[in-house]
Amino acid sequence: MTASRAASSATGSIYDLGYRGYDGPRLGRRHAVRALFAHSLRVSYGIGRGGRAKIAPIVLGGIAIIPAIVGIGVLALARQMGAPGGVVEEASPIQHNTYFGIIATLVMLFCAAQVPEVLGRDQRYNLLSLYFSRALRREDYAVARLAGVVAAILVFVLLPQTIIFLGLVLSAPDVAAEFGKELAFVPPILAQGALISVLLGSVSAAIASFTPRRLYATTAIIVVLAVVPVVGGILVSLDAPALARFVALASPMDILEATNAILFDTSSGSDVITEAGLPDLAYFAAAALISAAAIAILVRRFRKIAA
Amino acid sequence: MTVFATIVELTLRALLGRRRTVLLVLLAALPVLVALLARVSGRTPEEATLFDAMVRTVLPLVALVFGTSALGSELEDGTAVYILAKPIRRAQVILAKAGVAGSLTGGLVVASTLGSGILAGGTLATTVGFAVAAAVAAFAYVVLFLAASVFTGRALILGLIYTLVWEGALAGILEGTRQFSIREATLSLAAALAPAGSGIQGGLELGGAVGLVAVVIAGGLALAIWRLAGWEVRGSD
Amino acid sequence: MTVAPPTSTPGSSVVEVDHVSRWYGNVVAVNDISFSLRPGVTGLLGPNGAGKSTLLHMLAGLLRPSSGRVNVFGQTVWRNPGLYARIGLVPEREAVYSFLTGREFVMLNARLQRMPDADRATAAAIRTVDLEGAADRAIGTYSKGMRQRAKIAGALVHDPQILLLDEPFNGMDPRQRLHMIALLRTMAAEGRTILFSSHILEEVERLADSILVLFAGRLAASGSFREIRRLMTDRPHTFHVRSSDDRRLAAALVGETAVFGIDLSSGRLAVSSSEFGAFTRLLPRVARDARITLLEVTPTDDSLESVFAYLVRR
Repeated sequence: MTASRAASSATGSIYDLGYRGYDGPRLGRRHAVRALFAHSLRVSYGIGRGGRAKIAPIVLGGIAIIPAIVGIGVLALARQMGAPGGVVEEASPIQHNTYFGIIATLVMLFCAAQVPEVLGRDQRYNLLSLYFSRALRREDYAVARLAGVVAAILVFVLLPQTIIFLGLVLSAPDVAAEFGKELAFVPPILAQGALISVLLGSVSAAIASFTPRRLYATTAIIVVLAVVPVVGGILVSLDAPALARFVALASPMDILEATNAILFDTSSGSDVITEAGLPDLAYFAAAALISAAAIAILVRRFRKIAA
Repeated sequence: MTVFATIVELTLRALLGRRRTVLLVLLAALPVLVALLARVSGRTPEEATLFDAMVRTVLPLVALVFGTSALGSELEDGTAVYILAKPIRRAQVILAKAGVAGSLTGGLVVASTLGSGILAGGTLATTVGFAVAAAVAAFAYVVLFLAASVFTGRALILGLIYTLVWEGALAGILEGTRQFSIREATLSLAAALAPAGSGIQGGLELGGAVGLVAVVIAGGLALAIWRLAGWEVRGSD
Repeated sequence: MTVAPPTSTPGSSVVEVDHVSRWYGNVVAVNDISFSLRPGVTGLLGPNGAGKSTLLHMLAGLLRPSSGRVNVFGQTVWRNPGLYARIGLVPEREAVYSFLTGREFVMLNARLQRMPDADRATAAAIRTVDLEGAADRAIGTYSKGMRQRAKIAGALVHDPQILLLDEPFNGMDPRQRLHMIALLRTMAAEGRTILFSSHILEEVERLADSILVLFAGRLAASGSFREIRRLMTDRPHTFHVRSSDDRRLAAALVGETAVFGIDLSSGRLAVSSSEFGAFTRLLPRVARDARITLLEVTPTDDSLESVFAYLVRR
């Protein structure tokens, strides 16, 4: 509208405080995507929302890091008291290669609790038309939301691992050597972390994108992530390798169990995996396929949705 | 029509809405389908395995869905006002809703248990024993989750954490938690009700199991009634 | 001129609110309010966020006062479900059991109120709110106004002595609103006590016998709004006068002590006076002595709007 006009005289001025237009730069699509990504990440942890939104992520996140802290504490104490090198480390159940398995249930709950929050709220309050009438395209919306969810899960699973890493290194008698040993674990940790976050994130997001109602989305995610492996367990007890193979490749949690064993070069404790007897590559391929399919479903959902 | 019957009818209609029912029936049918799959491929599934799987997954999930939404959805969106601003005792509301949700859950899990039992070729005594335990457990879970839903709007996720973390993961690590696990109580009940050699094992003595279930149901109902009597509308203006 | 806020007089009134406050942590939603309700229609007036809904919920026993007491028929209304047999509540929130038909919803209310003949009461209530045409459709298919009417029918079905309505005319078209106003007037005439909240001044002006003005959680004024206006003596009354010769009339008026100010700037003659009674006597006399014909004399700020604006701006 009008530019700021100042009526001045020798002794005074009057300033126009009326409506001002915006003439500055308009950030485009990329910034919109980045902003939406950051927003999704924040929503996943209830940041910027009242206390009640933080209950689930804080409780779950807290439980997830407690074993790590306790384990490191015990280890540090043992080392201080001069335990022979390596004994406590070997005996401790809190290790890099077991930790993802320990918090598997918690990651699942985190997905079930928070992913519907990220993907369902806009549908619930009819906000999609607002998003789609901006520089943001429909596919961008889907991808940005998914990226936020994936990042949130990544943080969730890597934080305890980081605590273990730092704990081991900082409490070691020979820091440099310990650091070198620990460094070897970094690639598998990152790889498994990436797999977990992408696979679980995309599957949960795809499910959650179909319903604004939290109850349905949460239950559906739990069924896919928690109930399917149990079904697999039953089939395994039937001694049916073909069925076990099918379940092992179709159940995200079982796939992650397998990739964990492969990446850390340990053996898997799961019956389903042993029963299935599949080559290593099969699991990575399955993870990739399922993730790709879930992402495709997610993008298609937001392309087609009425807004 | 009495007040109790009115609330029962209302809750039934509210809970049995189209999509939700179909999905829950499918969920409850999962063990049966697995058993069917096994039979079709020529093997006989173990009834105990099927029952154990159902108790771990289907039972708490169905109870969660029915238990948290029987009263919780009305408390969340404010329609509870139409039931609460009435001259009726809060106990009637809680009992009616818990009854409906418990019966629906019980019906589904009993059907599932019977179906699995038939397909697994189990004896009548075992299957019936399992079914009774499942029915009792249905009410225990439903009352627990219903009570939770009166206290908080996040009953669903808290219920999930209880089931998967407390009853699941922690029970493996901390033996003591088994004393406070409805799942263990259910399995113990089933082991006691079914003839010996049914393959089910629970972590509690029969007395302990019955005691836990009784405390959960009675205490849950009492807590829910007490909390509902002092329920306040969620603020806005 | 203001007075200290009133304390309630016990015994004679249906609803008594005694130094009631409600706070949420550090936020005070309702701040030390006292009043009594008698049979008739009372309008609860205030801008959004003034605490109207909070106050209504406390009156309905759905919210506990942080301090003070709310008494209905001499009993505390909190944790006292028995009282609901005589109270009807129409809440503001949209949500209603959308899978029920209008008739089923009213019937639900009738049954929960333990009405001996629920069918007849339901039919009567539906007829009263003029919802017969749509009564057998699911509420989910209703327009906003129809949903409001269904809620009101549900609140009337047990013939309550007290009716509490939170923004009842929301979403109603003018015809429905007139119909509802007439209905509420009739009910009040039968001896019922009706309290309704609104931020639309016209409705309150048209319907309420007395008003309660709420602002930022405090009671800013109570009583008949014309009386409130009289009490605002530190604010002069303004009249628009149309006459055969405005300017000469203005010159004649400006000499009178009862006249506070004269304004011709908008092309019309506006006269302000701080002495309402004296001015009404002097205007015709001055006009007659100056041989000017008065064509139209309109009080411009005797409306609820100006009263409200004044109260709120203090």
